[in-house]
Amino acid sequence: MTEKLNRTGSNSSIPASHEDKRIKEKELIDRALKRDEIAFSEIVSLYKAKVSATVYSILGKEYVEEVSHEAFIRAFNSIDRYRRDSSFYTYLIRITVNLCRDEIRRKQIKQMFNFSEVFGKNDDTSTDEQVRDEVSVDPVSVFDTEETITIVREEMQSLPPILRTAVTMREIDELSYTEIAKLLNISVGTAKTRVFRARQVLRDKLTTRLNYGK
Amino acid sequence: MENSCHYSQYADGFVHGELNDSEIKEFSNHLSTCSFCGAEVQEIANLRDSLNFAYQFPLDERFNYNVLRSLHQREQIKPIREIKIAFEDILISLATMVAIAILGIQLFGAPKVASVEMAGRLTNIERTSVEQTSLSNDQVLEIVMRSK
Repeated sequence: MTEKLNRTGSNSSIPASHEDKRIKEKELIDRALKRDEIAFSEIVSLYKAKVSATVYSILGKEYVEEVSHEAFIRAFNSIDRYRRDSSFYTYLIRITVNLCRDEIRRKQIKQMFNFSEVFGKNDDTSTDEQVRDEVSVDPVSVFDTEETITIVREEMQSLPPILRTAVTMREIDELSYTEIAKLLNISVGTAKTRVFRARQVLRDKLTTRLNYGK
Repeated sequence: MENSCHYSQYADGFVHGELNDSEIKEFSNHLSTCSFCGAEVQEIANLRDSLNFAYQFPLDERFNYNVLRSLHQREQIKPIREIKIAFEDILISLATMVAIAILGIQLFGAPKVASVEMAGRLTNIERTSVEQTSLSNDQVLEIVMRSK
């Protein structure tokens, strides 16, 4: 896409092989089923970056700790019911995404009954506003990369939730289209369309805002 | 640069490591000659990396501790809940037994002839007539004693 985006991506970690991850995960789950606390902690350490990034991307920064915490608790409390037909990671992401969707619904209901605009004061600190506030703190002092990242976040937040969720599951959670379709209860074709559409919108907007030459 | 290429459908899977060995080889060869697919691969990879970078949110060891603490708290509640359920079960069982006993007494009634001794003092005709009455044992006994 761009040089700027290239620079931002330079810090991404290289994932371990799928087989290594699978073996490690299986061993941890076996121990967790025996209520081994160290195993629980290791699972948290292993997946908290992905879970927090998912929540951050779908809901916003202010929800990360609370929703991530709840996702792990729910996953561990229902670990006895976890069927090994998919990875525990996928199971955890399913719980996380469901929590995010619940929160989005709550936010939508809250917005429907939000009368504060009538009085000219909006106490609801929505994600979009927070991001805009962050941008307006001190535009001069932010580094170029930081500005780029803020723009990426802004444009992600401007996507409709269904597109944002789909592209998050694909690009951040690294799930296959089959997994995305299963978790969102949609067809594989619809999952592909949503991700493709989200990419297209982001590409167009980022190209415009970051002055990328075509 | 071309405007489209049918190979570009592999770009997504290539970036996400979902192609098999032969597909990787074929697409890699194609990439060396197709600028459209090259740009497509780069854009998908850049977007993926950008999003992963943009949404980093460091959760320290305190987060692990808080999760474990919450698990502990919820597990401590569990036995109390189980004891409560067991106690309720016992109460329900006792209440059911009492209800069945009362129902049984109501349906079949208390024997009109209360004791063997008393029964022994009644003739068969007396016994039949006693069983057909709705008098209490004491009342029946009084009537019988008077008649004798």
